[in-house]
Amino acid sequence: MSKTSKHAPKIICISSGKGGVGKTSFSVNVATALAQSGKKVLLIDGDLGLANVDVVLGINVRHTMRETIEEGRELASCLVEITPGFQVLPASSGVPEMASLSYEEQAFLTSSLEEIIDRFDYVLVDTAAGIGESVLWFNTWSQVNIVILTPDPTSLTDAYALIKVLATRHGKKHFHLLINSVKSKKEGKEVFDNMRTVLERFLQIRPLALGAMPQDAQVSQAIRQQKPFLLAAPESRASQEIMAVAQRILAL
Amino acid sequence: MNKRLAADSLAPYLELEEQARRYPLHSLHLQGGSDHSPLGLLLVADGTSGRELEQALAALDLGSRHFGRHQPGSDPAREESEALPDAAWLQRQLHVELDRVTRTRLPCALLLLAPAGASRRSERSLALAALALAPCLHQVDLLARWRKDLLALVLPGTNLGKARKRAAEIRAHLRPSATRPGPAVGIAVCHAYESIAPGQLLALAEEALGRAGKDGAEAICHAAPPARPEDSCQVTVEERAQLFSFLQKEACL
Repeated sequence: MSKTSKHAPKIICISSGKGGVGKTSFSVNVATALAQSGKKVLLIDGDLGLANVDVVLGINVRHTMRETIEEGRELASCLVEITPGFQVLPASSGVPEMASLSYEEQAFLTSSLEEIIDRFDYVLVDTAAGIGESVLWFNTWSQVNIVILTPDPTSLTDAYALIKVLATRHGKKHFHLLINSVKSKKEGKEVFDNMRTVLERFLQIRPLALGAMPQDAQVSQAIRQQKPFLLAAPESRASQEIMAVAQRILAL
Repeated sequence: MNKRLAADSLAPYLELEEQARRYPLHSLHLQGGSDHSPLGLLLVADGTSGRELEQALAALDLGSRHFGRHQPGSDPAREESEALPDAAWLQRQLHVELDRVTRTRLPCALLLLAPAGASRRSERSLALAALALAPCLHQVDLLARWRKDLLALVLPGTNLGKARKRAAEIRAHLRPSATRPGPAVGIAVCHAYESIAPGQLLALAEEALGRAGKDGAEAICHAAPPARPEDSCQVTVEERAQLFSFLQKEACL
């Protein structure tokens, strides 16, 4: 099915290099914010072997992409509606085979995904950490690449390494950076400016700033409650920033 | 039938054969005429005995037309030689696979192998190498003859790292003895962001094979389009120092 022949959704990949920097929490909340703006949003759990979008959302998943690949189940029947306009395509957890799909499985998953995405305005992919094949493939499949990083040296290095691989081996040149867990706006700006300098100097890439998410106790509280913080604490600083990020995404 | 028409008329069979790969089936290409133009595709369930197949073919009354896969015979190398698809078939298949790269965003690798014993290369030695290669092949791999003395192996969904690994396995498998070298292998990979024509990909693989031959008969070489040199993605000391520079400034404050 050709994406150009029908309504073409915007496909956005959310990756980080390092794990534990807040990819899933960001993905879930930005998807919620986009849906609140009246958009039809699909969030794909791209961590195929260690999924946790369902955990962050506190939903019980009956069917996952694993059944589509292994049993031929219709992908549409795996979709779970979270809020009006916001649906999730869950993956399985603790299934190493799903983390390294064969060519036929990947090709089959691609064609199955392309059959269902036309009904959405935005398709977000919350990828696994690292630079594994599925991460690189989801990034090449997407039109917009968001890389999340924190001010930690390990996160900086891994985010840079991910961008370097995507740029050098997969021809990606446009990246949006989201700095997470910053103590202040100033810190967020410093991290972004520094990363931009390195990317421009060594890779000739000029990234765009998507935002800086503040450290916010209400975020961890919402995660423990298994709810998007946008719904659990709509007045929090993190919620305000996520709404601003959603507006920037809508303007892309 | 001209070549263009032959390629067009083959397309539905290739598509059907591709779908058949998902099932326990063997596909047999029905060919006719002096140019071996495609006439049809027979799908035969796994487990069908040779006798059952012969009876079925007799019932179909296909006369002198023949098949792309081997039929019962006495010389496996000759049968393999006849069954080994030719360069025209390879180019058509590459066209299909490169189109698939664009659609699926998954890479595709092409390996060119020069079986050992260059001076004695013949159709038969090529066929024997193809036979020997059979245990190394995956279900989606496509093996064909390229020029008179090379084997071309198309590996759909395979990136450079995997292609190098497969090449090393194949080279080890085709090594005639512990003391004699295995074949030289040239690799070219098409990625979704590159628009490469089948001829270009073949030329890149030939260039790599040429280098592999010069480097030593056992070498594996890779060639990439000139616009994209195969850079290392290792994060360098300079990059890391620059990445952490603002942290050091922070610490000083």
